[in-house]
Amino acid sequence: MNRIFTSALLVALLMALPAIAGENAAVESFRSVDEDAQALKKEVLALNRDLFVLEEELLFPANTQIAVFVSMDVGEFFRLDSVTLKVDDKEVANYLYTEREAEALLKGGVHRLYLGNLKTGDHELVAFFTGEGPPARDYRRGATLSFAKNVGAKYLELRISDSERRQQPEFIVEEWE
Amino acid sequence: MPDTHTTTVLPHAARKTSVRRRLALGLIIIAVACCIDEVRAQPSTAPDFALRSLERGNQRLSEYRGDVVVLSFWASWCGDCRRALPELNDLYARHRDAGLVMLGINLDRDAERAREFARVLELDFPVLMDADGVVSRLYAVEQVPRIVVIDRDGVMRHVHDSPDAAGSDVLVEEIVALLGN
Repeated sequence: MNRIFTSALLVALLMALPAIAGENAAVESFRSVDEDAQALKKEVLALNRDLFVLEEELLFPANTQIAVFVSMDVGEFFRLDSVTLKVDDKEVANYLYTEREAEALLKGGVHRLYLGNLKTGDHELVAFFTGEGPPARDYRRGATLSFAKNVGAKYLELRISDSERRQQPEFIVEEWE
Repeated sequence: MPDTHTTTVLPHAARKTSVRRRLALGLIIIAVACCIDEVRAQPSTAPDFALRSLERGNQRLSEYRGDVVVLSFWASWCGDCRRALPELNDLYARHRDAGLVMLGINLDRDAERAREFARVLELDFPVLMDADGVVSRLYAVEQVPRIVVIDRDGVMRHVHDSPDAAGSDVLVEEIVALLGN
């Protein structure tokens, strides 16, 4: 009797083993698939970043690249509405700033307004700033910069700052060295 | 007189090849057509834009990502728009607390005309001026009123060109379904 019982128990155990092993295998398999999916996702994100960088390098190669940035320093005397940019008398950018974007600039953010290509030589940039100036009136000012484009990327900054001495906003265009 | 008209007859193998080529070309054309239909049927991301509003500063569509947005293209010279806008205003009032954003995009060249129109109709939602038609072209607006419904992920889900859409149950159901997601 004992032998029959023992044999039956062994058979039952042997039959259960594949099921247990199968369940463990399923869990392991799921874990492995999840890890693979995470690894794949990381690869896709890295590839996406590389493609973006490559696209910028192809469309705007360093030797002809020009980038124009906008920044704001304080902002008591001017509330920015929009900036229009002309290079060599041709309008290349026109950007409307929302309240949130203007806040971001006031908090130290820098906005890349324009990215383009220019051949080497002398060029002129004119920026028009529209907004609300003192005393709560519509305000439109321009700033001009003549610059030489050499081989290599050119970075220009349009900076809006408050002039306490003049109690008015100042608009400066300068080159990054 | 000898017959000068000659007819070229292709050998049997060449004819078979020619038929196969035409068949293959036909299949390719059908496959491409199906793909085009497939692409057209895919919902697409709503093109981003920024416009000046009559009262509330500049508005950028992408800043409303996370909300359900209804764009309503209209003009003061459009009779159907005069009927549709109050309906949309009611819809906005009922669902704004649930996260519905409504942006009226006006196509008039004269902002004062649009402002007066909005005042008379007592519109509560922002009215954005698209006098140059830049945004209208982005959204392929060929007639007004046009209503575009955008989900919380910035994807265009529904487009209505019917003048009766504004007050319809269909539009309400679409918006409620998206707000619930």
